[in-house]
Amino acid sequence: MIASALSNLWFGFGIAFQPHNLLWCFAGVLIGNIVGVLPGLGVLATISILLPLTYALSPVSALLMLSGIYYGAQYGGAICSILLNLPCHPPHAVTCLDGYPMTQQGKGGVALGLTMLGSFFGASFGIVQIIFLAPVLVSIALQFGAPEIFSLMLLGLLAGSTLAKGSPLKGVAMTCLGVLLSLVGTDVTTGTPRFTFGMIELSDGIELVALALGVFGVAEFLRSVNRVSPIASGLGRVRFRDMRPSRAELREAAFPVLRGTLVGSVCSLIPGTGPTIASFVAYALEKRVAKDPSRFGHGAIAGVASPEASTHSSVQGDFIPTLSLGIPGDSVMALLLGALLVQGIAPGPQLIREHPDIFWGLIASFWIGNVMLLILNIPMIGIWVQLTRIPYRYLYPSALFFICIGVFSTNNDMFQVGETLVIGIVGYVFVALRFEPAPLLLGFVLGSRLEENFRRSMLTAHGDLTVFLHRPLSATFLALCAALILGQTYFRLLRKQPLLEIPQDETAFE
Amino acid sequence: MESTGVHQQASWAQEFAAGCLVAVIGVGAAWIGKGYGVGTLQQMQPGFFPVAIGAILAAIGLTLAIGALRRRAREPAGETQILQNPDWRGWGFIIAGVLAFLGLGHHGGLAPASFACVFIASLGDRTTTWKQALALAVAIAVIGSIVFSIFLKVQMPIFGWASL
Repeated sequence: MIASALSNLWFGFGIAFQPHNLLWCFAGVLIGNIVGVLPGLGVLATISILLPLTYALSPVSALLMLSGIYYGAQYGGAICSILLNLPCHPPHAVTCLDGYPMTQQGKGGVALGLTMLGSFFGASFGIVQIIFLAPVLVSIALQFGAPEIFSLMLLGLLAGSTLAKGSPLKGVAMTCLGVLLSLVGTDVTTGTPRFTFGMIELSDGIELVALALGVFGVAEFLRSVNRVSPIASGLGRVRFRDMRPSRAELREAAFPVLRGTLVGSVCSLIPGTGPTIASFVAYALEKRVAKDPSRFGHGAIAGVASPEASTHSSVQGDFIPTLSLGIPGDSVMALLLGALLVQGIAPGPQLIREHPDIFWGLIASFWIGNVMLLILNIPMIGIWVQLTRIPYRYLYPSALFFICIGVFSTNNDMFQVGETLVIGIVGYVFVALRFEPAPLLLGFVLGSRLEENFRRSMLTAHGDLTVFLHRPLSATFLALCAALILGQTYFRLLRKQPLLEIPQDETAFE
Repeated sequence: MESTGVHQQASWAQEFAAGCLVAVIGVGAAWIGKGYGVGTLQQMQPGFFPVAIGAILAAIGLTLAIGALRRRAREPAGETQILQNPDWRGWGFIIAGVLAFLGLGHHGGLAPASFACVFIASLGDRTTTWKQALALAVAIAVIGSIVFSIFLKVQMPIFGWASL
């Protein structure tokens, strides 16, 4: 197994080292790193803006670049948290707790250096995990019939909407809404137009880009305008040579990095628990195992190294269910899956076999991208720090323009710009009523396949609903769904936090 | 998501509004879906899934709304505002910016559309001055025209007054 994995990986490196792929991978991590540093601009908005531009690329290049944005932003996000005490990206919110005190003590450079090394280790572990786990999952998933796929999707959607932040009930509502939106357009089986309200433009369904940019772009700007405070910090001066940790500091960080990496890899395997939860769990774990927990919050190295490593291992591990099962664990993965669909590639267990260039090329590019990020970040840290000073008032109007032109360019159709605006305004109403937008995208991306597999199951089982319980794997997934719902209700009734105790942080969580 | 919006727990009034909104959407979807024909499990019509999802949404909406009303009884002094700190200026200018892009994109071309979009949207921020907005809009219009029209060949002329 190891031999075949290695030869596949070798093949992947061959793909990823093709000059144009290398270029797009670099573009992705560079943009990701910039976005990670810029306060107020999210990964989701950026990936959605660039999504239409990737339509002209080959599927491999498109996916390399879009994924690069995702993990590149994690490096940038750490800079923001450690030097400026700004949780620009939710997974790094917890890094502020000990990273910023280290900066105040003049050890910001060391914190960053350790973060970079820990991140690289975490990411590498995550990649190895994909290489060995994804083929195993695929070999199981290839035996799935329609009922299993339906039950598994149900489990993925339920976990994605209830385990993430916010009220579980509202999360499920958003997921259902996403499924509903995916039904808009011509019904594949019968050709009946549904929910088009007589508009021909809607007969092809709602454009993924319009939905993503409406919800994560326009709605986000409507929410943040005049509410993002400008940054004032004189502490953010870090030079390359400040970043070298001493041997003692390295030794202090080694075990936390290892523990964080393991936490991250476990979290990445549970759908709905992405890097954000991983980093919080890792921090909590460090605090528990530490000999002197009182040091946390005052610049403990473990409090920086462990959550960062866990974020990165979880970010890479996130790709496992997406690539091997075609079921995304969070909204970033849903977008990447959407990008594949747009390219005309059906996600699912057959992906690795039918498009090995995409799968192995992507994995190889993760390593190349992570090395590029190390090279980008360590010597050029001064430039990144400068970037954090770009005020939001210049960012959002520019981003708004990119949204408009990006949506227009998907079909050269102004109707989509209007569609985005409407989705953005309605989306903001939901956000203002404290709904989380992420499950919406999950529901939207999986919705049509959910219906299709349900119909197919019912057709072959002659309308017998118990087919979902008669097949052992499907029954297992449904049992997990039931356990999830029961668990959530139980914790609700006990008036406790749902499943995981997450510290209340007003910027990242409700 | 990333930004620094103030986040308290939702008030009962917000929770109630949220529940009603979800319930109305659910009932509406189910109603429209019924028109497509529901069919049976064995012979599903295009309306089956919409009705099912609509029903689930309606049920969730009702649960949210009832929960909110019960909370109201528990905390009589609770917050009743649904929209907290409305920012009409920001909202108005951002929406107007997109509308300007829509209109001018149809009838003016990429350069005027991008200029108007960025200029108008910038004014939504209370600290932006006219000069800053103007400078940003010109910069984006120039960069945007070059990148999108010339390099990426987006099907929109830089100036297109004729395409009325």
